[in-house]
Amino acid sequence: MTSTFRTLIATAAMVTASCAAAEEIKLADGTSCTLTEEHSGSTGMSTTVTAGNGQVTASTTSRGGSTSSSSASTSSAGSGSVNSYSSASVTRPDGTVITKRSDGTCSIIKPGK
Amino acid sequence: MKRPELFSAIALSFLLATVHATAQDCSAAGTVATGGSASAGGTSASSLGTAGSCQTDGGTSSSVGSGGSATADGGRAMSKTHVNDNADRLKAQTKSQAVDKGSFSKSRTQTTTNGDTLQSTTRTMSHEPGQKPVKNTTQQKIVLPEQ
Repeated sequence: MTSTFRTLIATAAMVTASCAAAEEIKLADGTSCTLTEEHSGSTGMSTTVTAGNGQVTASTTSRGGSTSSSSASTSSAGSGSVNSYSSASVTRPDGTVITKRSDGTCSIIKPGK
Repeated sequence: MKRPELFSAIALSFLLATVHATAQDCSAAGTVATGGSASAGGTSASSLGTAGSCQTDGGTSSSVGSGGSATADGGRAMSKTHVNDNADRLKAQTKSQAVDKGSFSKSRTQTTTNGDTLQSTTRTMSHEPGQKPVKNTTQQKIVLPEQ
């Protein structure tokens, strides 16, 4: 996972260096990633996780821009069921926020100039 | 799921691992979060954990949080959380489980920060008599970028 995320970060760094706002990109590991540009100049972030009612959701919010996803990795047999979800975010020194989720999606929020 | 109304009673919401500082304050920052929910028969169990870190010229500040819940119709249910602080290593662990007439649900989350590394893992499992156990694991691990 660590090497995967490092690869993601490295790939994202290259992508964000050459791309403008609001587009969908495909990373080398097959992850679909949304690239957006925010103009607030602020990249503070928070992560929220909610569990209960048979579902698990998580979202990561960056000031000035936000991204969220919910309900993934569900399996069931008989009447028993389990749900799980996870996400990880990194803010790079240049202010770029990279978020990857267990449902295979990710987002890159690049600070506007 | 036989008793959806049961789980409405144990809805659990956390707002943790908030990195309040801006990019000007944190040269690099990161958060990880994992959570899971299991149900079987008249039992349910949930657990989750989050961690956040902020790197500055003066060092790295980190936080961890974890919690859970469990319910059982007429059976036994427990949920407990421990948080340990050891130098620059933080560890939070939640175990939730419920048992009722051979059915059980379990959820366990372990979240740690160690220097520039954040990690969280949630394992969930449910079982009903005569059925195969259902298991799931989700994990996130990140290493903050070097300054």
